[in-house]
Amino acid sequence: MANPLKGEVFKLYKNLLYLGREYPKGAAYFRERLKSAFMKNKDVTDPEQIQKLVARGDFVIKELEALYFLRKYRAIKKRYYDPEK
Amino acid sequence: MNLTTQSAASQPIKVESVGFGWPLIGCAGRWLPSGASTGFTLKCFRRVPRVKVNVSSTMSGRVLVGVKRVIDYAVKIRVKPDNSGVVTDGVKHSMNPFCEIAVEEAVKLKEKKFIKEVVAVSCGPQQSQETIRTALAMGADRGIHVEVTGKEYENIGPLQISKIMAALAKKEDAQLVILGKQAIDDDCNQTGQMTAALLDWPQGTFASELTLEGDKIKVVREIDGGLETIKINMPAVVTADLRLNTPRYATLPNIMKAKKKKIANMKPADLGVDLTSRRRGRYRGRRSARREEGTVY
Repeated sequence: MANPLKGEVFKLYKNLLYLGREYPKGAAYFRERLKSAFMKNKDVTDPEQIQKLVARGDFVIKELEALYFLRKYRAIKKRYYDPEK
Repeated sequence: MNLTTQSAASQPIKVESVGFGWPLIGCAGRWLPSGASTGFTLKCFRRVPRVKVNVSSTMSGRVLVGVKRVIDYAVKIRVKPDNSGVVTDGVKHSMNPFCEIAVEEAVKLKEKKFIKEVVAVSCGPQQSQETIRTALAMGADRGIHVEVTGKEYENIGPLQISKIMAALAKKEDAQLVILGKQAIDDDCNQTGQMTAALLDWPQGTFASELTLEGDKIKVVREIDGGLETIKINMPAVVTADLRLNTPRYATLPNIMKAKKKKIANMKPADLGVDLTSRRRGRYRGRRSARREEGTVY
């Protein structure tokens, strides 16, 4: 288990777990999916492959941040800027 | 892992041209198929207008940002059975969205080196420190927590807050005060205006664009039916509207880093501010009122 990328994978998991606390379908739902996604790749040992998966995780982080921002922006816009709609 | 139901990827692709005539694709470049070879580096590419970095020597280069801890925007508001207010115990709180925009703008100004320091201020009980931490995680340099608790906190209004902000702006020798235009809990939309009045500084309210030009600020304001551009002298008070910018997300690593930043703790009395409220009567909630409708009452 002395893979040099272990720390990076841990960090990714923690970051995603933190982000998942605000997930629209609930933190529990997100955590379940997150865990299964990580467990699916638990046997991957090739560093290049791991790096690719970590990059994919970073992409998901970006998407989640965008999702949260848009959700908040839309809610505020709806409340304060176009009351008719 | 199909977690991404909606994304920002639907935003229009910005094509900007740079000096040597290549049309480059802005932002992350993730619309390109992976592994596409382009011959030149495609990176996070956003052009920052080339402006002279100009922190005037007579100015402190310090920006004060007010952040308010409010009930989270996504929480369904419940009115207390006796109509005396809304239920706040055990309810998720977060930073007021307009304050987030204000923090983001201050941090952006700092990144462009127009200013030197961003100070986040919050007034309220102990938990307000969490809100300050969020501001610090977004990039503010240090925090000031003005502790107001119990009865005083219940009766605090925009006037009291603006007195505190004005006193702090003087004490910290701030060059600029950036606030959110209003909070999503009381919807007062008064703090910025009152702060400017108490300090006798110019104000740029409802800012949707902010440019620093030497000792002056150009503010594009959102007004009914259009935009208004004004130029005001510094020091000034600016309040942020929704379209000013897109606040960044306070990520976990940044929150961890923000724990090392300092938050000064003080009482309103230390600033010589009297918090007596002259407001008569009490806030009366209506059980039928729904926040979704943007009800103002």
